[in-house]
Amino acid sequence: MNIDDFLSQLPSVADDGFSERVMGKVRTMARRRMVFTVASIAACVVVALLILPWRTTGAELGVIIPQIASSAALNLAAAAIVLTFLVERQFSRL
Amino acid sequence: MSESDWLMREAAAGDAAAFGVLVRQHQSKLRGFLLRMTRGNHALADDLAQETFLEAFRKIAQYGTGSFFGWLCAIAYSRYLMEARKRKLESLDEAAELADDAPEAESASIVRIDLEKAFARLVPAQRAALTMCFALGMSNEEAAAALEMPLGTLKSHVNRGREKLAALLEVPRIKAVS
Repeated sequence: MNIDDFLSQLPSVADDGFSERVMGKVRTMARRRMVFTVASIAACVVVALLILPWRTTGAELGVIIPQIASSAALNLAAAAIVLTFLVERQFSRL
Repeated sequence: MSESDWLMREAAAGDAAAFGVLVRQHQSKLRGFLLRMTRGNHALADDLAQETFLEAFRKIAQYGTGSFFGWLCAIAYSRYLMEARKRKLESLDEAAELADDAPEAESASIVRIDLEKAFARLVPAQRAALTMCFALGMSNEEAAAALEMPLGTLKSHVNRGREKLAALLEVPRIKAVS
């Protein structure tokens, strides 16, 4: 064997359960991340429920939402956003 | 979009199964690369490969463009350097290499040197550059990016590494002739 032959080869390494061990740790990591995310969101929701003035906000939303729903310009803008999102998703899958 | 890109995208979106496919696709080459870097230490090479994949999973959202395997190699090489410093596995700089090159009393032992042992005597940057460019088929640009060094430095490591390898293998023949 000359230098070029040696350099162009890598030691052959069989999997022997390596991928499964790695994936076991990856799944644990993903689970921890998920628990952390859910716990963070739950904590934020609890804080928001305690702090935000829900009665006032609800009353104002009751006035604003019907106005938004009846606005043609806002409806068109919302449709354009949704269409752009859907087309982008379709292109990204190609 | 290539299969690898699609798997990367799915993995970045949190799909562990897609990442599993990437692990199975690249584990052999990555462990082979680390085996060369660790001079045949299977346990250390496997530990580093595992840490590399876990770090890749953690940072997968940060992955931009280019070869996924090149990105893995970059993580693996930086992990290897950190481990080598921590464990004081070997001298990582060129100055130490020069000292290592000095004529030595036990020259008879060099007769027994084979390619693997000669390769193990190169500095890490040379081993990494040679392995990436020759065994892993990466372009010079990809290897330079993975090793975070300028292209000229990479080429210099490749040339110097190859010359040193040839020199180490030539020594026994010179001795035998004289």
